Amino acid sequence: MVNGYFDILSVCIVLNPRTLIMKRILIIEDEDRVRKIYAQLLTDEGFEVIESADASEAYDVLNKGGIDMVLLDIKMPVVFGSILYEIMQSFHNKVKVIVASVYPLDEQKRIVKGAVDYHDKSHGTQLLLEKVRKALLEDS
Amino acid sequence: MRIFKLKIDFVYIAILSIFLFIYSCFIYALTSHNIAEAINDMVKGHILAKLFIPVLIAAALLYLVWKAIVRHIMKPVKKIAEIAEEITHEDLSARVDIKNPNKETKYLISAFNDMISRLESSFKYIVESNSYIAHELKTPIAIIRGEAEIALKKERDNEEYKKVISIALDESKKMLKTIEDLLLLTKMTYRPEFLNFENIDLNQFLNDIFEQSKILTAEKNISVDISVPEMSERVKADELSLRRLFFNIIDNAIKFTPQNGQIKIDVKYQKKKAIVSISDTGMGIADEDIPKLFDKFFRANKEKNRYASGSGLGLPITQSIAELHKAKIIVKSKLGKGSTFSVVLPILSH
Repeated sequence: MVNGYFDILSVCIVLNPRTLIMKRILIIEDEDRVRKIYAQLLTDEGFEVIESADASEAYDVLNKGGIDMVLLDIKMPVVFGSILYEIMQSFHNKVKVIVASVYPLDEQKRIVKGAVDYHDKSHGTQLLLEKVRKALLEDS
Repeated sequence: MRIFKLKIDFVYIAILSIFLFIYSCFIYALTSHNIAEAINDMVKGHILAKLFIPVLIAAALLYLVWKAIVRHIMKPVKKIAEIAEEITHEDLSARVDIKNPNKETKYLISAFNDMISRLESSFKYIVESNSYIAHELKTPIAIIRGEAEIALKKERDNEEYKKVISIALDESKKMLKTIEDLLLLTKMTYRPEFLNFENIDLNQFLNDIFEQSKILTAEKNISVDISVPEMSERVKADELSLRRLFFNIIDNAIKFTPQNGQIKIDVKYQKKKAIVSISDTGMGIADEDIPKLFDKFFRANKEKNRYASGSGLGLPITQSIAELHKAKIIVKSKLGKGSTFSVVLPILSH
């Protein structure tokens, strides 16, 4: 009886978009303007946002914990997003990753294998927002 | 088809037989003691009866030997044809390799292989430039689109709209610069005939560049000095391109030199060359990054070149201009101390 009750409760939590509000998203993007756009987009939607301009800075943030999702650019100075993704697979494999790059989607899938979703940055912010929501709802 | 080929074989053998028979008749007549008797023999057909089978066999043998020789000569050509058929735009790595070729075949093979190498590098350029265009143009599009989408989500004040418009303007300028640089680089690489080479007085030319550099460096309060030898030298150059070469280097020096830094233009003339060194007191370049500076499309395909700015094609264009002027660019740098770009140009003899 008790177990059943909690199951129904968790289903309710999953279906309610309000549960996304407290999710913490890390944006790893070296292009300042793109990063600011995504930060504003997600903050306006009620997400908690942390910004990183490069992979090593992002790695420190990840190590502190509490990150639910990462928006990951591929081409960045010094350490590529794809390399950071591989490191994350070993140490932070519970964090959901959406790859956001200007590479075509098939190319993104070839470079970073197994991310939750992929986004072509030139396809606009609305599509990205839908992908973020969908990915976060899937897990809980 | 096969029967047709056989027929052709027989026709060849028959023609050869006729020639051989006529030749034999001549030899017979010439070696005979009595020419009149020999001609009589020929007319009566005695010789034809005697020689018919040997001539036919000889003709057939001769034909076979000839075919074998042709086959041997055509072997490398056939191999080249086979490789040519294998080559597609997806894989241009194949080359013809035949052991111990004769002189003519060797020449043919090397011409063929060189042609494939040129094609391969052209295709590589197309593929890399496409990837570069896609990457460098999609980023500004993503920014303009993202800014506009967010601005339109709700009512904003005028200042915010102004910010979005000025970002759009700025990004569209970047896109234009990328396209122009790319077109210029392609022109330099594949249509160098547009350059107009003239004799240029180098002292006067560099002094002009120096004067204009002073305007460019004023904003960051960077001082510029020039030292040129008293006696000037002349070079053969396309003035516009050569100006671009030096300004690309100076622009880079300004970008990576902090406020109140220094830039020096030092000119030296040696027997056959002029060495123009442009030094700055900027951030410097790590040794391992120096060879990457002039890579075309380096930013798009590998990693972001920390020392490239704008379209990232400035230094590759500089390098292409240098090559068209038979000049070399030597880069020396120390991290945190500064860099020196030396342009070594051949000078005209007096």
